Amino acid sequence: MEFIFEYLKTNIKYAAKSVFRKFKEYLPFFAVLFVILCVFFTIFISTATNAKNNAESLSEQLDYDVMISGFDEKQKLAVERDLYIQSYMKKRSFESYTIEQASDIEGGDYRVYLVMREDSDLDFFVEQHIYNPIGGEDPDITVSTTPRYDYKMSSASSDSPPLLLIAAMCAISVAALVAIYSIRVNNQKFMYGIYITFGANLKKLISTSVFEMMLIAFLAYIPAALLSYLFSFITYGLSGITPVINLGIFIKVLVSIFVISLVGTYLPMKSVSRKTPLSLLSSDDNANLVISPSRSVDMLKSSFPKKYEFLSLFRFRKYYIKLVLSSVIFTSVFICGFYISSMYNTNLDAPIPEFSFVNRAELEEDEQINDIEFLYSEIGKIDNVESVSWNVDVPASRLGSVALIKKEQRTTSSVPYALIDDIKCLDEEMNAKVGSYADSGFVNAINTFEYSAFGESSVDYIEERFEVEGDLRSIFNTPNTVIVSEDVYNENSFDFEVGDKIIIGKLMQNLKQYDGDYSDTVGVVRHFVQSNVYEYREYTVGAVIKNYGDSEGRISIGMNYDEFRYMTGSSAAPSEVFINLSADTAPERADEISSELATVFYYMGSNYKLSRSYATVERDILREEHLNTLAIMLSSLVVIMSPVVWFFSQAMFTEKRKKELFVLRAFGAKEREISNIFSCSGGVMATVGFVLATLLSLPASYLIYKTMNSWLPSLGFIKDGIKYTFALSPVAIIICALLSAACGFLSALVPYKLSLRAEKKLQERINNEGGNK
Amino acid sequence: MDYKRIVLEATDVIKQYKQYDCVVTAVNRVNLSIYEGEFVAIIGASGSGKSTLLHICAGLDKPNAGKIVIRGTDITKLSPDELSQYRGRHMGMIFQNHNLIPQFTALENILVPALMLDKKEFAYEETLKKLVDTLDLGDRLHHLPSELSGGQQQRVAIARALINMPLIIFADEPTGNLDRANADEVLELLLKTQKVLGQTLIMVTHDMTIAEKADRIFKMDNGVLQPYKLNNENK
Repeated sequence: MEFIFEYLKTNIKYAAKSVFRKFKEYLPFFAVLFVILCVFFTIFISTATNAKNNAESLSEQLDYDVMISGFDEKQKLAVERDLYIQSYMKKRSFESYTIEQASDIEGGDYRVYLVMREDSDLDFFVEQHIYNPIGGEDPDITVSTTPRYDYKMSSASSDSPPLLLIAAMCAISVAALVAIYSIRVNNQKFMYGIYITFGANLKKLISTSVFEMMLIAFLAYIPAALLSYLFSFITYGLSGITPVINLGIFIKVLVSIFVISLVGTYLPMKSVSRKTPLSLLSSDDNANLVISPSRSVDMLKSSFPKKYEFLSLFRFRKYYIKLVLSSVIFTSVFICGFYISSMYNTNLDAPIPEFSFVNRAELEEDEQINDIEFLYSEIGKIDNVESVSWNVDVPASRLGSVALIKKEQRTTSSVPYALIDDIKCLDEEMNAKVGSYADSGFVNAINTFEYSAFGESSVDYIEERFEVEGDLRSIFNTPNTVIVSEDVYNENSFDFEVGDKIIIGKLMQNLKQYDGDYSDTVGVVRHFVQSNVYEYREYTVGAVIKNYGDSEGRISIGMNYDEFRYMTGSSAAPSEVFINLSADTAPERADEISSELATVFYYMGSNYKLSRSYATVERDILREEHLNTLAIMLSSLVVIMSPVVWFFSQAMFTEKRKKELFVLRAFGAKEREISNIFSCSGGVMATVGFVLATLLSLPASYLIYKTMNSWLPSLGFIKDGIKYTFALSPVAIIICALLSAACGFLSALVPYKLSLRAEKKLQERINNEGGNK
Repeated sequence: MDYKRIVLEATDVIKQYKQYDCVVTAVNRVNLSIYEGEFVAIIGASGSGKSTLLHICAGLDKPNAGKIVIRGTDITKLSPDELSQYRGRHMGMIFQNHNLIPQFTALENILVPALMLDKKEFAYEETLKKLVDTLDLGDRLHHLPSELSGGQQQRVAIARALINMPLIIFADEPTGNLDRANADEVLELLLKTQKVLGQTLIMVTHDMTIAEKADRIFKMDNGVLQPYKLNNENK
């Protein structure tokens, strides 16, 4: 214990001496660590606040976790009896329950509302205390969990931020610290040379630097906490939320900054410890040397200082490359942050169904369709209902169907297709048909499509939501006409025009089983064309739906009900229908709509089972999380590190070039000409930095766009079909340009001007002292 | 002189530098054995390679070939971390231009080696007191190097080199930047301290008056080390 105390005391003492005696040199570290602390405080405060607010909001808006509906009177009594007995058990699964009748209508179904315990097993509970008392499973009974329950059971209820976010912020913070510490090490090689000469190993070097960084972090800790809480109070205060203040946040930030200091100083120290002490003690880069006296004289004769500085840019290329690279990284992160914020806004505006009802009707298909169309018009009259929609889709791959299209109708090779002009079909007639289609230009066979059944209400829905070319109603008026979409996993993969022809094959007979690998989708399509007997039908594109988001990996080929039934052999009646409320619908209004819908469905009989997604509650909570503001704020903080690194680095660099400048003056260079050297390099750095930052942020943002828009949906991680647009924020680019200009010019010019002023003051002082003597 | 065992042995040490297309051999297959408690002087003209040899023996630079064995440990085979620690424990280094850290006081500079080895106060307190007394630094301990004279700075450097009671002291022209009076004073103190603490001293110098005081002298000439005997003409 005493040893630890002594160790800490000694190291803190030396760290304090180093830091406080030359605090000006440590100012950039203070700035960077201050920004890092603000970032982490903001992240931890917002996560804890969001978690607390989510839990409270959900509890306010929903006073239950699980709703089980669809009981009749007899079932209700049986369940009520069981739950009553359970409520006296210590080891029960629920905290409380209530039973209510669903609507004001006599005989309406009963619902059980439950508040579950955190350690409960819902499936087990439902089996034991719902199905058992009523004599077994009943398809009329629906179990719905609320966002409150889902949230309680998920890791999202934890007040710790996502690991990925913390890892990303740590990486950026470490990069900033490494950049700035490397600059310091480069300028303090002598001191480190002495340390290593007299016994410092890597462990010692790191502990020395970590103590220095932690001391500076302590100085920045309280101001960063205050600023972060101020920002949080302003941001959350707009929604009437108080940010969380707890010891856990402060400890987490402290641990984070310690880890960042340790890792951020490790690389520079490792690099230093590997060098021989002599190289550190006697290191002398060529910053204080002119290239060569004679060349300098030549350069001074013609186009000085521009040509001189351009050569210097080459001479110090390693230094300038590192400097520009650090700026480019930070600025790119900034621009990407703006893009992420815009994606979040897209999510908030995306239509998400609040309700859905499942069609369990045992009516004739036409009667079912009539019912649905009736419900569509009735429900559409309810206030705040924005749309009623359904999908009746059958994937072509499930039916063994193929479509033949022309080469120019396919815009990407990432969609699997088979070339049919070299396929020899097993059936001679098929062979001839396929050959003639190939001769007509229909050379690509695909099965990445689904048959969609469209009625009048579906067409209305599409017309309201999407950009359409052509006439959607042509599928009702003109035989053999289809509506097509063009996107696969939100990527534009096909290019159809109104009037184009598509050949669709309905499977009639399979001559040979496929025995290959089903992941070889091209092989599968080739096999289908080769080994199946199809009835090929030629269709005309009546309308094209643009920007039809897809997360299933298929385009839609929409047909009227009769065509759909013929091609798929399936019912055109939808199995599930979705009800979207307008985006500004309050959760309380959603509750009212729930009752109104219950009334509508009661009169429809037991054919339809209503369930609720509580999308309004979730959207409400997402809005209060202010994640888009947070993204902008964090990326703004990150970009502040860039000028800090630039100014610090350039100040050190200017100091090193002093001797060089003296030599140039000795050769006759004027002060203005030397100033122009710095303007020159500043201008080049600003331009290069801005261009590279914008160029890098383009692929970086595009990578984020592709990941969220296409890759994650294609891997099944995202199923909501939200289609994003790719665009860089003009505001972010303008800020980036201004920042680059400021960094480039000012960081080159200001340190030089300041050092010139200090020199003049010193000279005046010497002159005055000389005069006084 | 009652010589004890060999404390440092350099075997076939070669150090070369590449300068554009030329290869400069600064140390050319040097063999050297130093005994415990000895004062050895290495003399030679400027550019003869004597400082390079000293730096290699002190582990401050790496040879291209050969080995340096100090008390049974081949320091050329140690990792950078091991070498640093070994140097901190067993070697003291005095540079021509003292190389004090400008933002540390004299006392802090002296204690840098102890700090690097995380030594507790009691472990170096007595040695510090002895050194301060011997080197007459009592009233200058809390001054920055910029507030000390050249001689005082070099005395601080000597104290720094000796604070960990090293086995060997390597001195690279310790009086090179001093005037005659200071140089004599510093040398006298250095030798006195060396005798008092019983250490081995290897010094590079171009000053024959200093070399005369050594137990043995070697001369470096174009990278080649030869024993050097003083005769009446050299003295």
